[in-house]
Amino acid sequence: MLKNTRPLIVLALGIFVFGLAAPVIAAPVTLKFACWDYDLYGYDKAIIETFMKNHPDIKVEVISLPNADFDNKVNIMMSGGEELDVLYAKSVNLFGSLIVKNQLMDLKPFIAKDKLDLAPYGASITAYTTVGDKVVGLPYRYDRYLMYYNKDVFDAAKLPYPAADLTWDDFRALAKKLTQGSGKDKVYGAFFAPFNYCFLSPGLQEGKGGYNDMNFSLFKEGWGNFYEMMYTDKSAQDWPSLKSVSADQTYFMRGNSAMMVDGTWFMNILATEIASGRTKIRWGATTVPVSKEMKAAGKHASNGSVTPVVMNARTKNPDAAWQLLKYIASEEAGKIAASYLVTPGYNSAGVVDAMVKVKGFDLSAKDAITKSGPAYPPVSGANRNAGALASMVNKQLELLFTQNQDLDTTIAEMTRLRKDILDNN
Amino acid sequence: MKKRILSTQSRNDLLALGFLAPNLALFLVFMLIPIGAGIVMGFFQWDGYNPAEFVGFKNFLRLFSDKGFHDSLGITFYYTLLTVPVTMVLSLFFAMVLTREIGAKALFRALVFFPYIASIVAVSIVWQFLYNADAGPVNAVLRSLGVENPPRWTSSKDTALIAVAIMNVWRTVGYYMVIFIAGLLTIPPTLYEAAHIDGANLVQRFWRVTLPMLGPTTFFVLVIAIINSFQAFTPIYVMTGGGPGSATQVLVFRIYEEAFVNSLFGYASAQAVVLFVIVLGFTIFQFRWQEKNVSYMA
Repeated sequence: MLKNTRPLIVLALGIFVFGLAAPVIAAPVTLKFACWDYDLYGYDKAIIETFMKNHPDIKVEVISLPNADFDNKVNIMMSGGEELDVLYAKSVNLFGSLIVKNQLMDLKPFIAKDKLDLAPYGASITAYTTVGDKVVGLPYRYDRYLMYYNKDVFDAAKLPYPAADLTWDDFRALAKKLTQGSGKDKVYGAFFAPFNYCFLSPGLQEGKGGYNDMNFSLFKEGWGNFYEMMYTDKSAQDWPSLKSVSADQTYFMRGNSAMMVDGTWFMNILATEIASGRTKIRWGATTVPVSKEMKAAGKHASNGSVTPVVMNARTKNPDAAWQLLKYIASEEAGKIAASYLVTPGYNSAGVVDAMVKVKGFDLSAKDAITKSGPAYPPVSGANRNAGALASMVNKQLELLFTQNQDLDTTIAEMTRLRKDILDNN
Repeated sequence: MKKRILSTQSRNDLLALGFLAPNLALFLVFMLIPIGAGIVMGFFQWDGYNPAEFVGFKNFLRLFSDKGFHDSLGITFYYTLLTVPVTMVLSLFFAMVLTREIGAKALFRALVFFPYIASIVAVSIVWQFLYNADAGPVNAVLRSLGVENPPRWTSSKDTALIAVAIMNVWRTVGYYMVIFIAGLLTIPPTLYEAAHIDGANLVQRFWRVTLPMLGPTTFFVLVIAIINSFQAFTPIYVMTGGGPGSATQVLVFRIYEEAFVNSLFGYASAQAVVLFVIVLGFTIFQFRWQEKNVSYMA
């Protein structure tokens, strides 16, 4: 009898031991990670897949949100109790909002434990993710503005490619020279996508503060030129016409504009579109024009932004989340991003090499990025009014470039409305 | 003989409640509780994440000095004035034409009704293009008619709201037309025959028979059209984004911005409460008015 029951006892013991061990060899930790357009351009997908391959104990559930709605959706998800672990603070508005609501984990203990070297991110960038005595994010991307140009248009006009020392006045004069033809065959000297961020380099590039504390008159030199280009010189299509057809930066790839000021992210879009054969544009890039005062001082700078990768303060898996966050901001992930012509927060020779090797990358862009200088965000520091201030500036900018308001009134109104916002909130 | 535990009336009441229960439950969960929560939230300052702080009437008092709120309120009333009367007149006109014996009546009814069932986002994008000041078909037609400086439509703060209103009238006329058609079909033909025998012409028959008999329908359309105009959001979000500047920032758009862009959920809720009170006030006023002026007697 005993002999017959022995196998059963062994089986029962086996099940018991397996049951005890199960939590130890449990299923991998699952992290929820929010980003935008995950499948569209491929770099985030490549980063996350490499991470999961290197960390079989961590599974990443990607929540891909549309680019245009990212801020709103993240705000609503976080407010609604969605358990995001790691996410991108895409805009300065969202980053500010997450900070003032104390939604971000302090990364300082993790950085100290792993002795993570922050030097490759640069002091000015790490300052952006430091709030008081806390570090609330690591730089995933560092986007700044460049001036893209269409080589074919310059060649056709027999003009040299634009130099890195243009002022906004020079930019306007050059655009006028490059404008030719009429009707459907018209070639414009410049293209302005009807989004506020394409108009912010003048002013913000001075490095004298953001919407919350700058003197808005700093925008006058650049905006005055842009306005005249649209409505007097006709060297750029006007804002209302472009808005009515929902135009964006990809219009530049149609080949009928000579120059465009846009972010470094546009390199990735250009590379993707050229590789797919949808455009044959021959492009180059240089630094964004500057004010006369900046040129005299030999300065280069633009507006731009750091996109930090951050951790939800309420994550239930902080250690695994830190592994993911640290990897996204690492040199290895930076090289992956750079191989898609995305400028990572991590700066090293290896990252630049990865970018230069990309087919279709124009070496002029390497010089432009190297010379570009700092890129200033639209709001200085974390500010609870970032969203309201940005919304106010957008509206005033729109009133100016739709000819509903003159430049002096726009500057005066921005100053008045800022006071209202800061006094009331 | 067994005693009845419940009277017939009580059993009927319970039965009625049983039938109503599913609808009541949904109304409670998706309407009444959110409305109650919205009203309560108006007394708090809340950023959507951290614990809400009770601030009493502060949010409501701030509305008295908030110029942006006053402007939005004015824009909302202006939008209502632009859309409601024109929509009502046009939908009644189409209803009257399309209840007459004309060929392809069903086809024309479907054509007028179609914009209402088309995606509002899609039609807003199409209209945005139609309104293009330089290359849009609307201004092309106006130029061909000799208008030298046609309006800049959505890019001018003077015409942007009118542009949105025109689009919305076009979109909703079909819906109200269907309601008017239903009302017109309930008018007994004998009334028209009697009026005709008495020598009433077409215009007199409209004013003396059609309009009075359509009283309840017109009242219903008026109430719904006003409520809808106060709740306008999607076409403005897509076509103008509230701009140029704040020229088309109706109250619902402003509430959306305050809550979801500026994270001022308490202040946004206070504005939503004011909107609710305005719409409720209008509706009560209209009901009082119709008690005296609208006849339901056929």
